[in-house]
Amino acid sequence: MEQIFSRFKEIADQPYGYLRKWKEQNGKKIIGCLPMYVPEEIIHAAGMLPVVLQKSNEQISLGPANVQSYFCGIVRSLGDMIQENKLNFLDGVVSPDICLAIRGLSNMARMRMRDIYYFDLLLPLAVKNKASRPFLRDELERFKASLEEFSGNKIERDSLLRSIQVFNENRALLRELCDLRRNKPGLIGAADLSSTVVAGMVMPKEEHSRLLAELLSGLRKKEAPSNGAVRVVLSGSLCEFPSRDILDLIEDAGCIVVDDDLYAGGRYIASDLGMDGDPLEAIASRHLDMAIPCPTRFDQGSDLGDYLVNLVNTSRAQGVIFLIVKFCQPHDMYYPYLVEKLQEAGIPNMMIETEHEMPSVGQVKTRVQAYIEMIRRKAK
Amino acid sequence: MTQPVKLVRRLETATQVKGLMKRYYDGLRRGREDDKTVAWTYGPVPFELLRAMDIRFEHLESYGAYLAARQGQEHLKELSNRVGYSPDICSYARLTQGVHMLAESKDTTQVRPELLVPKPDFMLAVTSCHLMANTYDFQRRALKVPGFVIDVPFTKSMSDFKRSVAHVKRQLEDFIVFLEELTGRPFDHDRLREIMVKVREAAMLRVECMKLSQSTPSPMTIFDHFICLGPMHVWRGTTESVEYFKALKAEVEQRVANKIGAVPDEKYRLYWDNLPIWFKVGRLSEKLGSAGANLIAGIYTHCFFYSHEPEKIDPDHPLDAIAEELAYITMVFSNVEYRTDMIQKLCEDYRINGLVMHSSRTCQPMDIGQMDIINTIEKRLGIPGVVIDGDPTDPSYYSDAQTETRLEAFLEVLQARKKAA
Repeated sequence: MEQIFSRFKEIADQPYGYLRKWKEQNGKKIIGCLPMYVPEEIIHAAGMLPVVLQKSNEQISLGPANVQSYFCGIVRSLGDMIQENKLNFLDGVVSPDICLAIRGLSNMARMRMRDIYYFDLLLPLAVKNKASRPFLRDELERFKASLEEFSGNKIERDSLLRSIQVFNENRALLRELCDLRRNKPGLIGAADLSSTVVAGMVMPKEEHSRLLAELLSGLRKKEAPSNGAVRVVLSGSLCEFPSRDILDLIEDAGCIVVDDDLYAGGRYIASDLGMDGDPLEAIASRHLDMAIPCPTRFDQGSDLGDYLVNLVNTSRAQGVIFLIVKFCQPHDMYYPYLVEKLQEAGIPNMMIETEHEMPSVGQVKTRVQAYIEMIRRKAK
Repeated sequence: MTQPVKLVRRLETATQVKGLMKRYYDGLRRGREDDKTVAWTYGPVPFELLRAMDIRFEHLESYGAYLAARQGQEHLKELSNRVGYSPDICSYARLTQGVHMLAESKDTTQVRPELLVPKPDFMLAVTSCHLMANTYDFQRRALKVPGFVIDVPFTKSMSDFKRSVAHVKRQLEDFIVFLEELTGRPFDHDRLREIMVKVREAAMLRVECMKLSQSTPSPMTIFDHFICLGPMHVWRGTTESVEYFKALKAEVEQRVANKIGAVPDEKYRLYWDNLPIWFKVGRLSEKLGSAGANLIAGIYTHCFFYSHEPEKIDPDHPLDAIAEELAYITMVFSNVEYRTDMIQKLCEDYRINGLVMHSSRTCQPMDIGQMDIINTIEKRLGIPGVVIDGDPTDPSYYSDAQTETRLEAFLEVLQARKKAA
């Protein structure tokens, strides 16, 4: 089991090293998807490898030359890699409508990687508007046709369904991992879980599922050490993978993460696609009726605050730790509201602002310890 | 102490804007007494449709600019900080949050009256600006009033643009139904037609003023153009806006005929990128003016809000014109290459000598790629550029010394180039 976790960690930490090697060995086309909601299943059905682009752990060297210092880590990091031609092994990039920062970044990808495939996937932001469904349905049709043309492979209903099945299976396995973590607190560390999800965003789902099944068969038999740690839910960190240092720090300080709504966690695996009916319609519904409300969409009809309170209750957590990516404006906009919701429900919460270059983790640790003390006192 | 003599010649007509804006906001504040429906709006929404239904609307960015130019914004931002809004958020959004909090507060006896607006009956947003739509989403949940958000995709190509126009138009039709249900009145299509006639007339006059300002010396500064956006937004489609632009055009024509420049002894003609720094408009134009430099063209003022072929607006097909304008603004925001070409065209038409790129977290779509734009324009036209950091309404992101040192160095570059030429 440790071996599999460390394999996932290796891939999550060095996704681009892994992918370059993979490409040499397999010769298949790789399509980079900017976060968060590209329907990878369609790319898979066209016989290509869809990959969710990750930030690198390296220092940002070109700095604010083209991406100002007040952009979030993943945008600055990917901007750096694009300018340094480090992503040139990709065969294509797909950019979904997520936020203003990703919109700016996609321009850079399009202008500097001219000889590769590029597609703007226009995902509606006002998901409940009557016009949004036919528009998105049309958009997915166009995306499919464009991928067919680029790959030279026709995407029949059956091949799309087969791909959906591969992805559904992978999501089901990851959800089982999350269930185990929830039911046996302490069995799976937060950093291990996040790395596992991120590795799945990078490697072929079939290979990921195979390793994951093996991992789960070991974990199912294991019992969790009961050490009286405080159970918390992590919330936030849209788009980017929270740093392993921060996740370890939280757990070393005396917390156990029992659930999350992170992108590198619950959010990525939240919904499966139906196997009957029209697959593109199912993909459209997944976006328009998003299972976990997202700060980048508007008038969703569901409420992230309610979702979070419910997540805390069902996982029997004692508190929430927000991981807010510095300069993630959509999330910043939501944060005061989420705090208000948690306060109404009597759920203690704290916030850690995560930066690409984290200055002092010592201070963060002290704050987490104080937070734990507060929860323990409250429990007495 | 005597007032220092101002170098930059303000347009007489532009001074009317203050009165016009005050009159507009007084009307909005009286909305309840006058038994009118009140709306709060976020981003470049279709004001035309609201006006056709006689709805009094708050346009929160215009209001932000209005307050920032009057130093009224600090109080509002303080309020938003208090509830946990990060200072990294767009300053218009923070300010708007302050407006919301004041409108909800029980005791307003200590509040400056111009900071107060009545609570809305409904809200309207467009996704062209993601952050303002976020603000809408947040406030709608808090105020629990009906709302409508128009989805405008981030298009980057002409084929996407056409689909975007169709998508927006369908939503405008749905919004009209929303308005009819909300007010219990049928939508006034005749009124909308009349409004569009005036929109076209005012927009054509505005474009003529821009054309006139291509003269040497240029009779207007970019800030005159920015100030004109006030009447262009809140008075859109009214006789007031048409009259305003008529008067403006007459004054500008007069200046051109007499060869009067906005800046005495004009030596350099500059392009301004992004939103203005409202609280430094005077100081910056004086600083540049003292070196014979004038900022005369920009994307916000010269490429948006029906400044692109306004003569083509067809009042018989109002929704097409409105949808196209919305989709167009969003495309200019979304596509750096398209924007670069537009800037190039402005540089040629206005015989620009240099680019001043205002970089600000408050308008992110204008930010990434500013260096690429400088490099491309330098390559294509041999025109240099400089980036300055600032914010439209938040002085904590601005430093006089730093900006002025950068501008001085930039002016030296321009001078050296002029000598070499």
